Amino acid sequence: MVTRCKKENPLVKNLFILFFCVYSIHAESFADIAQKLKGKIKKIELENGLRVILMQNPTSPTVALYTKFLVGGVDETPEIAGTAHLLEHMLFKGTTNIGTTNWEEEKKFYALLKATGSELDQLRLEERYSKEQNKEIPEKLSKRIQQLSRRLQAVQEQQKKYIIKSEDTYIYEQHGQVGFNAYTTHDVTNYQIKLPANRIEIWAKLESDRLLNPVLREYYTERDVIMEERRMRVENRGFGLLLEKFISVAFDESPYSRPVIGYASNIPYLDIYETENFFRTYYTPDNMVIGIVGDIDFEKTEELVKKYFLPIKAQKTKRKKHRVLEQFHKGEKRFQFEYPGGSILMLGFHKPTLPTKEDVTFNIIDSILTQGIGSRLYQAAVLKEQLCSQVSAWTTYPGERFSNLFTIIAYLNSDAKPEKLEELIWKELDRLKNGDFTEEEIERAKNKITADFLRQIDSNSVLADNLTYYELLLGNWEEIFLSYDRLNSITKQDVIQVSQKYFQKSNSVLGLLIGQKQ
Amino acid sequence: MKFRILTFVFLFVMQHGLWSEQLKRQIGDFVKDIQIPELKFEIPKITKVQLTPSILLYSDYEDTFPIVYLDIHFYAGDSSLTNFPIELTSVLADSWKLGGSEKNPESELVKKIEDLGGTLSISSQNKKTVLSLSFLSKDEEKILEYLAELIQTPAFPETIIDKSKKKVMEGILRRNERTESLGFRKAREIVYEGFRRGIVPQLETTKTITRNMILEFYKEILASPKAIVLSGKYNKENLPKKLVEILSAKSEQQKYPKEEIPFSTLREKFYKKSLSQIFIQKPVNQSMILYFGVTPQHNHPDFFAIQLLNYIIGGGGFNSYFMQQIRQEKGLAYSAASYPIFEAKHGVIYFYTLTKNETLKEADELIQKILSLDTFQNIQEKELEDAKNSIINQFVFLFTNKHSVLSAQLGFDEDAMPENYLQIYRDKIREVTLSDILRVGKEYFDQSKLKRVYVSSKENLEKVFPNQKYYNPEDLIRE
Repeated sequence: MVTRCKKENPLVKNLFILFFCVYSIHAESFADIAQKLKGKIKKIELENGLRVILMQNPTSPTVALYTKFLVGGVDETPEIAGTAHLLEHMLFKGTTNIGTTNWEEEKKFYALLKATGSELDQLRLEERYSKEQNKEIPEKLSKRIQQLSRRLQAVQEQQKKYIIKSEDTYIYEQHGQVGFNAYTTHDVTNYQIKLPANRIEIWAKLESDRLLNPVLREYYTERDVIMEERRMRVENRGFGLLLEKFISVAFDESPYSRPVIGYASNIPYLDIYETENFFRTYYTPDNMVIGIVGDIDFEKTEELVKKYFLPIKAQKTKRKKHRVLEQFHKGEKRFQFEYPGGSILMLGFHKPTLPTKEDVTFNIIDSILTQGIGSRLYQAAVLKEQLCSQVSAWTTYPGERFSNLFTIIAYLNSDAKPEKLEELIWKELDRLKNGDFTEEEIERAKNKITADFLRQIDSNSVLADNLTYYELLLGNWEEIFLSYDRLNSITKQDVIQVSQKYFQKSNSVLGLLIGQKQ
Repeated sequence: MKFRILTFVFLFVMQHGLWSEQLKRQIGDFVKDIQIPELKFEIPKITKVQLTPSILLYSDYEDTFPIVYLDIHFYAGDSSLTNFPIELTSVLADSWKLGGSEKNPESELVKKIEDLGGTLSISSQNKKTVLSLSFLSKDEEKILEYLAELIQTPAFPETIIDKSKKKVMEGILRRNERTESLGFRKAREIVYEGFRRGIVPQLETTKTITRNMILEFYKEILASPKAIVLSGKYNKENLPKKLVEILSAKSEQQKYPKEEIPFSTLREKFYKKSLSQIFIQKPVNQSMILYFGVTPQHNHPDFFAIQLLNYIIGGGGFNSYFMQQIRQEKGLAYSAASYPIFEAKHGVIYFYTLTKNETLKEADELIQKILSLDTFQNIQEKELEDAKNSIINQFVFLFTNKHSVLSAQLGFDEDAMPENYLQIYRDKIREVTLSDILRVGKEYFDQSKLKRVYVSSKENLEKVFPNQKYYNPEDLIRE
């Protein structure tokens, strides 16, 4: 199936941090691995502020290329919720060089399309407002809307004569691409592709052009596509609805309260000029990191990156500092709703984000509680009491730029009572708070994390995704090495303290989807 | 004032646009100046050894990281269980893993593997049951002990069997939650009607599964031919030997014949069905349209032409007809694609999209237009060449990971592909002509050769497709 974006990326795991967490246990072998990895990585910083992380992994003649921007749902206001995601879609619509047979001619229609579309959006909003207030819609307004709708359609038809659809995809396909895609999360927006290793210059030319000369053509058609995406991911999926409600209830002040995809009510009115402005504000060299992992030559790759990306003008991202700050322990929150299908329970706790030691401790807690058949909640809730068929936990949801949630998710069995499952989860959390667990469980968690790390690192894509992610979030990807001391020192006492501090009703949110017979 | 200026600009631009020269550059021109260096690449050599008459080993040693990946494929699955409930394979897989061994019963054994950072998974499907392990190299000896226990003295305790049955039943209760899953399940139900694979798991039959049935199936698993896929940093001398010891211990003869589904039989049954459109009602605001049909087996001469036509029609991502016409042109869908599944004896092809209820008819008409003779006749030489280029240039990605290279080779062997399949693959793709495309289009892609499933709300179905039989998700589709 072709998907161009993913709404959330809640399971980006702190692989590198976790890897160094287990360093002490398997010191000899993993010291070698760490050294091997470091020796294959090179970071360069261009004069315009763009950072590039290169990593050699010549196991096959292929390369993974990731371009990541520190912009996502949290950078939006409620009125423009969904803009980061819409922009991600729009950047596949071409440039002044790609996707057009004649930009000089097409641009006249493009300008007209923007003016017409933007005015039409405003008038449709006025119309909606009148309807909401049970006011009669002025005839003048209706006529103008009809006139502009016809005009928009006519301009689209004219512009279409110049459009070459999906030209970037076409070029990449001709060069053997795999996984040309993008995703937007609350924190970041990412563009990714894998190519045969001899095609890096094709990528460099196309991607630099995407940033230098974007054209948001077919904007209004793509907005409709996003509405379809929302129907598919959220509106017709119980878990999608639960997630959306869960963050809206969990966060009072944090920008994590809004859905990355936007709302059904505002997507049809997202303004093209505001979307362009969003691009100009956040798609700047100092706000992005490129990761290139695979069968590469450092020198040649660096040369290509400089040739194509240096022309992007240096510009300081005008990011406004967030003034709001989510408070912890503001009182228990609960909600529930009914939906066809099985029941799902989500129990979340506000917690600090990286790079704190407390944040890292939650990875150990996750492993003790839900990772594998031997984990406490699997044993108790799935096997012994048979209250649910699956149980898992997310340690970084909805993102890591601001304080987030430790969230337990369980798919209830049809005959299970949610209150009984909730009681059981609290019982296990209380055991952690009381120190009723063993050093061996921490050891087991670290062993599992170690092996999980090894299972991930033979993928160029995973490496490129993580290198760019931590470079963006922590400022320098090598910061992950500094996390080692914090992580290696996690003890039973740390787990107890963190559990006592955060696993409290006053710090919790419980969301319950009550399944209805289909 | 703003209105007047905009009107003037509009009229000027519209006229000017019509007079302009429109074609100044061609698709792909932007990167034509780039010289592509040569790609040095050789198809990896795979070590394939017949360890015993019934055990075949695919292996590739790699010492980069201290981890081992091991899959054991037992060629016994649902297709050989004609006298047993269809849900038996799922119950066996789960209760084998969670039931542990006589020495380490219930989840004790898996816990011990997990304590070492290992993973264990077991799945059982139509033709085979697969046990997969990954573990740190340093733990090889210990893990092999656990593997021997699990294979030679599995416990299958009643308590765990009951839990596994319950898990399967919970899955049945949740299976209509997603529109896409529901649509594809209904399509399989129709394609495979009359075969084991067309039987839909049910709560009642799941309840009838007994420990004796599981033990009988397990005997069949042990007696089956096996293939081992092994990669990573392992003890080259010791591990294959140990695996032979473990797997040879209790071999008996397989009792049950496998149900085969040859292309000709499947196609004949498929065409005989008078029911061509199935309407499933589900309270949703986005409908699913799914066209599906029968294609030949993997090693059929038409395989390469089907691959290419599928790429052009719906498998080639954003430049496929499905994405271009349904999503890019009209904004009717987020997902619109096609994909064929090739097996050893037959294949199935699916074409689908999801669109809001209001545009169900419009999207359906577009699909009908795409899946028509007119489309296949009008495919241009350049489109075919472009599709060939894409597929040939992607070839190198078959070899990015050693374990997946081995697994892919096993799959090719299971499908009886020629020994030099990978060597000839690119040439075979190059040889496909437009007349091949037209032929396979008429034969397998034309809407007249396909059946359809529509999933939508009852009200919408009544509006768009009035006077039809509307099924509920759990209704069995039978003529």
